[in-house]
Amino acid sequence: MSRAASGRITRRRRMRFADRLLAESVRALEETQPDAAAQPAANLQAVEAADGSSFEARITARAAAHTSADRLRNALRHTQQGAMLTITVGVIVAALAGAGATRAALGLSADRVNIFWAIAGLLGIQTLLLLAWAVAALIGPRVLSTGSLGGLLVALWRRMGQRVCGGRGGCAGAEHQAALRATANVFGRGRIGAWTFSTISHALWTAFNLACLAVMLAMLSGRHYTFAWETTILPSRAYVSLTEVVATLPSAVGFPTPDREQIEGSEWPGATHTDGATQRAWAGLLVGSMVTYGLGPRVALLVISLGFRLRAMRRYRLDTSLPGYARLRPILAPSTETIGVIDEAGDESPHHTTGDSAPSAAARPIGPPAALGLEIERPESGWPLRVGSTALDDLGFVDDRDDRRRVLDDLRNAETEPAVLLIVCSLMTTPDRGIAGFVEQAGRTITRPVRVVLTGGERCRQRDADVAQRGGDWREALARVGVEEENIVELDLDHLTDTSERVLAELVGVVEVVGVASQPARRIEEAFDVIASHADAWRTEPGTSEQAELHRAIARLYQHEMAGWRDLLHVPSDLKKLSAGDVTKALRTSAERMTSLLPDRLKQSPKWLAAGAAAGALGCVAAATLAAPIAITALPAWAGMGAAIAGLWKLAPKSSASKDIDEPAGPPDLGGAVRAAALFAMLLELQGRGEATISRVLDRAVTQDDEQPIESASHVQPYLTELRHRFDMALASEVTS
Amino acid sequence: MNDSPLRIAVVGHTNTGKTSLLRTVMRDVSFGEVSDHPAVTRHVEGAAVVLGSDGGSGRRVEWYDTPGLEDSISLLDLLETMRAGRRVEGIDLIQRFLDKPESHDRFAQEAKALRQVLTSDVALYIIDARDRVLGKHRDELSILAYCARPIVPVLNFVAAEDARTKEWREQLSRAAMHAVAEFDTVAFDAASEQRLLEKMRTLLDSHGELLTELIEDRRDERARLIAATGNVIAELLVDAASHVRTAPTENRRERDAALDAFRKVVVEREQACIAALLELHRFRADDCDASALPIEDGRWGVDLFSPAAMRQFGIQATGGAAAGAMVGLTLDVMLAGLSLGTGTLIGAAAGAMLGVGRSHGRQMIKRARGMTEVHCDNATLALLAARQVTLAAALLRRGHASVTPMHLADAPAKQVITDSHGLVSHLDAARLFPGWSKLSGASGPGSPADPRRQSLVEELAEHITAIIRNAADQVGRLSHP
Repeated sequence: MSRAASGRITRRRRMRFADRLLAESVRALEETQPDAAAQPAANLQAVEAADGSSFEARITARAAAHTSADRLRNALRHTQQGAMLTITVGVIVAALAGAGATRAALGLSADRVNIFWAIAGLLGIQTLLLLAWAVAALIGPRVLSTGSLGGLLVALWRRMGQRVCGGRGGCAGAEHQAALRATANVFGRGRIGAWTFSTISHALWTAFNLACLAVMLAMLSGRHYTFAWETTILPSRAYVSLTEVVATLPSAVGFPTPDREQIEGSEWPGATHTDGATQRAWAGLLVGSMVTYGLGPRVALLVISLGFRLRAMRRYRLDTSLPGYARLRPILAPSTETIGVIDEAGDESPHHTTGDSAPSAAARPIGPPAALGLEIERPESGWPLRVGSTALDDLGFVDDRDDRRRVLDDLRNAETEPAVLLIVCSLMTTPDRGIAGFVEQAGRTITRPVRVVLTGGERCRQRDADVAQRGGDWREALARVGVEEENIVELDLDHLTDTSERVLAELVGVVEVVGVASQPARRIEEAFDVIASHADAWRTEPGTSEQAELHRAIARLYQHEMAGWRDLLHVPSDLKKLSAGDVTKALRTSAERMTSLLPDRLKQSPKWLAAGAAAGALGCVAAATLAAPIAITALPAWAGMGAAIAGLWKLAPKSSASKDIDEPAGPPDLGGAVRAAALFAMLLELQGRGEATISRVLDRAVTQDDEQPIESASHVQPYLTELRHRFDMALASEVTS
Repeated sequence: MNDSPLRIAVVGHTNTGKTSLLRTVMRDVSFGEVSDHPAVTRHVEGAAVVLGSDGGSGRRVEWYDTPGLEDSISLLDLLETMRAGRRVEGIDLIQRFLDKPESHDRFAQEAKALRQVLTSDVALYIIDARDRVLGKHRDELSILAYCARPIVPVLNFVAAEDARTKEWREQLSRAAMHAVAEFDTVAFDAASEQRLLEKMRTLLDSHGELLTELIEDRRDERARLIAATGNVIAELLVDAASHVRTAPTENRRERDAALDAFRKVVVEREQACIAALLELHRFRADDCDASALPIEDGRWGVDLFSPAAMRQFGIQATGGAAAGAMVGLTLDVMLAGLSLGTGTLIGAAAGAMLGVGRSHGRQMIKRARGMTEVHCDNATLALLAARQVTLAAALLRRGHASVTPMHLADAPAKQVITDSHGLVSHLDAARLFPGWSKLSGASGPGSPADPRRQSLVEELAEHITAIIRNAADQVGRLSHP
């Protein structure tokens, strides 16, 4: 804090201790009454009065303006009155104890008083306690506040406060409880607590000593005592020097004390000095000891404690990091401030036609379709774009000003006009006016409409972005520059499938299309029937080669769309030409592709992970051998492939019985084989739908827990029926959503 | 000393997080409008950080949110046409552009941003680090350079997997901008905020002192926030640990009702703690953003008293805690074979020696009357602590611009669990004083006014503060490998 700032604070009204105590009570109250903690009026008042004052000052100002402030002040007064009452009672009790102790020490019946017994009786315990206090004071306030007589009294008061208030209706209220808590917290802890306890302790002992002295003087005035000392085992010398030591302080203050001769003459029995002067000297020693060793230190410490207590109270600050205060900081001392809107949004429409409205190009002969990539990365399906066997005229990527100029010049100056101008944009990019402006400019160079492909949907989705919303933004931005809805297509060039290639072909107007033009018919029923019949035919648990044959049979059903699912599983074009190592690598790649298509939930399950890996690898083999009608086992490389595929089954957990035996990865069980084949069939049925959709449908169709076990061929058919039912449901929900 | 406020213009391409930056810097979830659309902000809006609101200098740092630059390529074309090959200083060119009708029409958005840059001391150029470096970005930087103001490029979304931080840094150093700051507005990191301010200080000599004050102010603010967070959680733990209810031992129905009531009170107390933490960290519970916290509808997804909650946090349930109705609770049942007389006597004697006579004696008497006492068990207390610490650490790492749900790992860091178990050992004292609990239905020796309670809260708060700091650092290391 700078010097200027601290100066500003001192000029303001001094915060008093009572203000802080009130703030503490408000905090205690709000802790138990969260509803009352809002206090908008008090907040406002505190902020208005603040004018650069400290956060603490604002808290106390708020407390003073709190709706419960008056009741809390009352409660605090009551609490403090209660405390004073307790202390007064304590003082009276202490005085009575002092009087009683003196009477006991001097005795009413006996005339002869053992001087050392009397002094020790009256001063012994309190001197010990005084030493204990001093030690505690040296150690720290924490010890001081719990171990002292004052601490005892405060604990008593707190309990009384609760009991008394609990009984009477008047002070049982939340305010009183809060005041009690605040008072106990402030006066019962830390430096204030320590010095409060000290003050009370010393006050009690002062009262004790005063009463002692008063009673002692009265008794010494009204009765005759003979002071003496006696011993059985100690030498008399010891008593003489002890007396002299004890007498040092009283005699220094001016009390009469016995001289050596008087001391020696007072040993009982056989005392020689029983005269009045000697007795007066002894009485002087007694009274003097009480004053100098008892009352004096206590009075001095009482004054010192009071002083330190006052100082601690002056230095007391609210702990503004307490939650009850910290929550107020943004309200009372906000470190931020709104400036508000300073340059309003105009009513200008966000789009304006670009300046250079060159006249639309004159009619030119129509050339091949052309494509350009606007602020995109090279798509994974390759660039320049191809549709079937037709390569589109490549205008390149447009990333900056020079690219834009070049492409616009090319478009204007070419001898032919592209049949279709395809602009590929990325859903990863936020559409802006610059992009829209360029699309418009490009559109003006030709007479035919511009068509836009929005790619990168999958990657956008991976970024947790809302792809639908982003697509909407693009359509909106493009609509402003006159690109019509039907000329915009979301199509992921990173993951081209049969379906999306068909759409692309339609978009660029290439009629010669790969595969079948219409949606292929469902074959999942057939595929599942194939699985069931194969499973029926297996006599023992199916080996890898039997499974490979099954996968090939399924793949044959989907032979027409093979290009699509080959891509999906990353099957190399000719497996037979690869080396053995590369074959294993290719199998592994397909296995990884298949497992990556599994929904997260199934990836957690070793059983399904293994089934997925096997389905991928077996699918790869199936794709590679689809043309050849020979048995898979007859392939020259089969031995290596079979082993590689068998290795993938290692992922599956072994049956519980053989858990501890480290058996080599044998052929999978029937259930595993059926699951893998079913996954493969569902994948082929779903191809062309986009990877996210595939995962989603698989997620809905496949249950992981509680499925019926597949232990014999008779279990296969019901399992597949159930699975197909769920698969249909999942597909249906995909269509409706 | 320069007494004028520091003015900072926040500029950048559209949808890179300019408003988000302001939200995060201001710790204000309601500043402006944030969404993943282009051109959401079409006006210039400001907010100021007032330094030393706690009786300090009162000096201001003003931040201005501007509309996104969208068509820098055409704008730079226009500027170059205006220049027409002559030698004109960039700033004059910008001035001339701002006088032209285009600045109110086609380039109104850009003009607003540029005007704000001209009236500011420094411009923060916000970059979505996931974007590719494109020509439009280079042109934006060229235009901003014409404004003759210091520019600090700020890379946003650096915590994202596909951030191209290196690519951007290279590009920026090619454009002679070396004081690049990384500041993720979603995955907040106090240290990178400090670094951002320090970068600004290196470019702004005239406001060096002010920025130093701001840097310190932010540091203090965070320390205070963490301390207060520790205190909130400590209060919860003491309340839960000391809370005791009695239930009849024999009457099963009544006993189960009492157990339910007990759980309800503790769960409500946890809710209150969550609400307090949200308020403290300035995330509003009724804000639509609150649903984006790891808790659903202002509460943790899994109920405190369920074995699933313990499993989620990897906490070992103790003893009978796993069994049905007893989840999370301990019952003090009568000691077998001890008659009323001996039980009470032993209890009283042991209690007298330990200084907790009343507590034990009372228990004995209640048992003898056929009542049992219900407490939270240690595992549940550890769970409570771990959940709140996890939440607090997550809040400390959450930018006020986050609109997407926060993804917490299934289980928090092992250290948090260990530390939470450690915390529970400090709560033994609280268990002896049911009166310390501020939960409804509490009664027994001790009172919330007991200074020893406050001392315990402070001691706990200190431990918790340390744990939160560690946990928040851990999250930080994870997101910034």
